[in-house]
Amino acid sequence: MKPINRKITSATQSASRRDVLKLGALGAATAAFSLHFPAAHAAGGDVLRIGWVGALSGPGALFGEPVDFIKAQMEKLFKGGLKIGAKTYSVEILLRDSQSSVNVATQVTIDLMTREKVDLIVASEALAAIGGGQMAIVTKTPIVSSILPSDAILGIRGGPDGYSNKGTPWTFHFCFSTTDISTAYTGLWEPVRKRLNDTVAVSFVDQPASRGFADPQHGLPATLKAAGYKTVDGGMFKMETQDFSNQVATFQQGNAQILSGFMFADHFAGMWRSAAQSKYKPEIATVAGAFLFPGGVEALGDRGDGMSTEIWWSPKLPYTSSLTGQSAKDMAAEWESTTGKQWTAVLGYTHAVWEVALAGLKASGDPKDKKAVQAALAKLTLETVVGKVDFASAKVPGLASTPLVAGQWRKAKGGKFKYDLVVTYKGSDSPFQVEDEFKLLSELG
Amino acid sequence: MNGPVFSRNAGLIGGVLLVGALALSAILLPVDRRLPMEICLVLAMAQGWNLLCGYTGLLSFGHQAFIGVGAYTLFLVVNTLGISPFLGLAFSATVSAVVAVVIALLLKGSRDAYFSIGIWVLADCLRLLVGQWDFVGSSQGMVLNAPDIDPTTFGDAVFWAALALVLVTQFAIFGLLRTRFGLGLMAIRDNETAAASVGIAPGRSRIIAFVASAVICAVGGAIYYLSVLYVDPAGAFDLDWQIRILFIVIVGGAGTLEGPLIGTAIYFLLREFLQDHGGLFLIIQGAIAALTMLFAPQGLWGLVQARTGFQLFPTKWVTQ
Repeated sequence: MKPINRKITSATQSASRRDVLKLGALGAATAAFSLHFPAAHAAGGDVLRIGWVGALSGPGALFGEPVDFIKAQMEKLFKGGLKIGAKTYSVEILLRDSQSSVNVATQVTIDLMTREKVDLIVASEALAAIGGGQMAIVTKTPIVSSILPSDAILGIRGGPDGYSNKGTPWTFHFCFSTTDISTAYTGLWEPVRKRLNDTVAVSFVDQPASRGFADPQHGLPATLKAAGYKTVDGGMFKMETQDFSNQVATFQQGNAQILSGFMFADHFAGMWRSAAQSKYKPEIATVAGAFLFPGGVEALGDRGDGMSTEIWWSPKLPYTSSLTGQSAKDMAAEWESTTGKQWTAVLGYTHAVWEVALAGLKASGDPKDKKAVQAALAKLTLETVVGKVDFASAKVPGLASTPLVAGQWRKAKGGKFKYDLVVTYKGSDSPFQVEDEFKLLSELG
Repeated sequence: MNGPVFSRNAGLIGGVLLVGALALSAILLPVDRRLPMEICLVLAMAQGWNLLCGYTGLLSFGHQAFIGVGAYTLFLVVNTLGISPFLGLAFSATVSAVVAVVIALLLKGSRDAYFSIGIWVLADCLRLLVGQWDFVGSSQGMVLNAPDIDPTTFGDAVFWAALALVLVTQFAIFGLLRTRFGLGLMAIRDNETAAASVGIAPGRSRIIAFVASAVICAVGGAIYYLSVLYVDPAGAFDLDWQIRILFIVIVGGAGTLEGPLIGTAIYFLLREFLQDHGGLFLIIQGAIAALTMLFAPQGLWGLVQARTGFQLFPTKWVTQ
């Protein structure tokens, strides 16, 4: 069994590496661009400049995967300019690659603010809002961002007062929080809890979002404690870690039947290999980060069946885009047919960031007036393809929360992809539908 | 030596004019000052590192440590003492000098590759330590609380600081190299044994150059992160800073004052044209560095110098 698994793993990895190379080589064609959409009627009218910072390369490139697809959507949308009020504006989009690095994201973001003097910045992964957030206040440039737990960005930017600039924020972030993830996890396990020993192994990669998740007071350990679980702590490890035998030994000694924490796909693959070698067989593996993308599960070969994760978005949600009118289902189908790849939650969120940004520009009445755009965003309530984004009643100004559920990757019963993500826990107030009951790994294996 | 022989001050007029023209264009041209600021900072850091590597032969792979120390010191003193960020730069310089002395003592016996790897490891240790330190936000980083920042003048203020740093660095190193101490440094660069035999103390000269280079990088790093108002360990202690400096000095020409100027120009030209092409930027950058090392091991300015003997910043004594 094992050699086959290893082969599959390396095949998937090299495929993704190839994709990265392709991205680099085709740089001129796909990576960075400035798009110009002249207004159809108003010659020489005002130009609306929108900056866009995404992870097009680097270790987080999967988060920037939908950029080309969304770009094509925007191309269609802005043909002939953008009509706001009585005026039609030419639109210019300036895309910059963050290379998945805070340093680069910061540099290109500030460059967009000061040198390019853009009217607004869309940060489809939140790095630009982390590194450029303070300068957004100084230069008075609104940033709309997502895809980072809301408490993580709050912590990084110095708490509610620091983040919201004492009530007049320039960054507008919408996402779920780490508490939402923890709550979804305990909810996910509830149906099978009686059959297990209430012992959870946790381990976290040292990275900003994960640190928030590992926080003993507000993170996963706190939620577990409140719910009466015992934790076996595997501690925090560095991004570059590859050997997880220590952690696995600790988990095995503690007889932890649930494996949880925050890490990326590569880390989990290493940990799962190590677990197989030392015959550590947890009944549940629910890990944040690692199973966001189908590739993370496929990399485990046949042993990917039953991995569980939080789910931010799914094509089965009853939402539609405020920009294209497309349903979540149609958008995912279009993605799968144009790219040949399975849908990911990042697709919905990347689209939604644009929905929010454009709704803010439109609601401002005068999109060239940054103060007006800021005021419009602060009051904005919008039904998007990921659900309702509500800044108007946000507890911290400029920080809206979106719902989150949880589920399990299961071997697909047909179709072109190996695994399907199935919702098994929907929480109390989300519109997701439960598709199946949660199963222990031994029941699937 | 072939070609014309310049008296030792003839080129300097050119050098001063060139630097003056560059500074003036940065000041007067109606472009945003963000990019000129970055260029000034990176050039200053490269020049500082060059003082160490180019003249004493200590190849440091860990100067990002000082960039990080400088930035974090600034954020710490400004956030806790509430002083002006520009005053905070003095603390960055002082603390980095102390850290540099400690590192110098730790690596005292290490030379060549041992020194390079040793300082790299120490720099990474510092990154990990800061990443564990909750008071400075651990791996999440920290923001600068400077409520009295005036948004209309802030961009200009950091530019002036960066310009001052690079001018002081360029001319201070130039002046230093023309002193007795500088002659000693160049003697060590050319032949250490011979230098020692005529009474130059290589060890002491190295420490002085090391501390000076550390302070320059620290103040550069502090100004850079001041301009961003946010610092995190992964960014401030990023090896990329060191690679950037290495590229600039190697391509431009180590052990010359003109080399880093050329290297910086090449680096920023590449970045402006290629940054958004993902891997392509790195591939071309790597190829240029490799080709330079193969065909012009003394860097591009080394090539010019070998042909003409010309110096913009003459540090060579020529007998006529």
